Amino acid sequence: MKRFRVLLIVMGGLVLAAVYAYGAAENSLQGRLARHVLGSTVQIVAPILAGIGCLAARRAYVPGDRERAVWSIGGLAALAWAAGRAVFAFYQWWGGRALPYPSIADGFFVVFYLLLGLALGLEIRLVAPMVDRPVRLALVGLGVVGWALGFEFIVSPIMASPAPATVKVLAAFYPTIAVFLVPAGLLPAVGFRGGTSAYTWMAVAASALCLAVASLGYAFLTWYELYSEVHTINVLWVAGFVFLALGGFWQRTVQEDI
Amino acid sequence: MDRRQALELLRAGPALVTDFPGDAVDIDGLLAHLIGRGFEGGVYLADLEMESLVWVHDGEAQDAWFFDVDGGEAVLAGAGGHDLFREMASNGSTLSVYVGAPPDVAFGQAAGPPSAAPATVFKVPGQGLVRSQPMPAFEPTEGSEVVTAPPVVEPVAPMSDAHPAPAPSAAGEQVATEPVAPVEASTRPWPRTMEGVAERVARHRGQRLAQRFTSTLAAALAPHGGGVDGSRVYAPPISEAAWRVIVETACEPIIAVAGRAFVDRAIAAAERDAAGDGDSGDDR
Repeated sequence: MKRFRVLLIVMGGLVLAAVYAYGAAENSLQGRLARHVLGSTVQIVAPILAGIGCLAARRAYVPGDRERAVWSIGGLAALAWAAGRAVFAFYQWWGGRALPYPSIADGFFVVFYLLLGLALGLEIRLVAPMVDRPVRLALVGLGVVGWALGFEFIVSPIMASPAPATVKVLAAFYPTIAVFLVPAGLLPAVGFRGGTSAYTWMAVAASALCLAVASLGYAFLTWYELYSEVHTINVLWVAGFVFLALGGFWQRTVQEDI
Repeated sequence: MDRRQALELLRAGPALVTDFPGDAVDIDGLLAHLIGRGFEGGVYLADLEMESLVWVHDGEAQDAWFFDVDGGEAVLAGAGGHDLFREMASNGSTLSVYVGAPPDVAFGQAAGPPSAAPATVFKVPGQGLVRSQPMPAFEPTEGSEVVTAPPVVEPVAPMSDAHPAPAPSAAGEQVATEPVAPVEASTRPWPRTMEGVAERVARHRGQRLAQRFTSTLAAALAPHGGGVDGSRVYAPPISEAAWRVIVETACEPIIAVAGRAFVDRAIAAAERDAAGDGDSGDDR
């Protein structure tokens, strides 16, 4: 538990760095450069921490435990995202140009969502029998409503435009899967309600919510060419991975603290 | 103790299942399952003419014992014995699974005093029991061992009726026949440990999983006369082997979700607490 408190401080520091990078009104050249570097760095560090958190949770299990696979896949997912962000930063810092959209980095981002979806799907298979059917249906309904709203107000204009097919597919894919990851994360939280493991999945659901809003915002901002590397929306990516890291480290803590 | 007595002792103990149609059971699957669960006991088959027993002991299925209605017996080692056991199961036998530690009978060897003339007994479908020396139709597989008595002398005295003194060994020593202790009740505080596990599962994984655990535990304890009353687990004296089966069965829902490592830690912590309470008996 003491180790977890230390991690909380580290996470808090990461969030503060993100808030400064994406929210500070520092407009001098040096200040802007610092914010840019800091922003790119936390975008890589946060998913790495999330990956470490998930893999730490994995270590609380023995081979054959089904949740071990859940956390292994979750860890790989976060590291895939970190790889995508690293590619992104590499092009900007050393390539001297921003990556086009879509780019090779999007391949890593797609892998992230697919792996995270797989991990949550495996967890749902374990926990679903402990959740009443009306609750399960309500969670599915929540996902459908969230997706419909996002699609109607953000994705549909992109779909109706003459944008390239890959842009349309990605614009639909990111928010869609991210929105449905929210109820997917909430379902285990409901299944374990009353237990300390429920907090793990609440953190995962919070992570998915941040990523979903960030995905919708990203799709919206890139479409209207308002997105920048230091836009405030980026805080949500960092927050999403901080929540995922917290979930992983918390799971490790409670799984061993019996 | 001879094999017949060992069988009767086993059958007097707790049973997981009794008189189940043998032809409805995948014998190999059942044995593999029991072995995988660390089960200690025996799978017993009976029909009108023959009884058979395969001990599950030390993580493997031991040689098959066969007893005919006339008191003859045989031990068929290895795959050969299991083949005949399977064949018997598929020909109208009833199947029971009993919990218990095997007596100190050397598997695959002449254990205890042999009966007057135990024959090699096997069954040919449609012909009932056949007693022969040597075995004409049933060939043991390579590596298996058929244990037979000297040439058949008819009639064969029932095992339980004949207890000759131990024969001297080749070196002139008496063959020691160790006394077999009856299956003793576990001294570990399992009921309290199970209460502790339920409490930990509720605290870490919520009430739903804890309820699944306690209901499975109650079902596993029921054949032994135990159960769960609210948060209290009660059970009559039960052998350690039987408790292990009960615990393994009861913990399956937790293992499926939270994993084996969690369960092992929960049991260890709960047992520490239970032992700390100073109550090590399970007569509650």
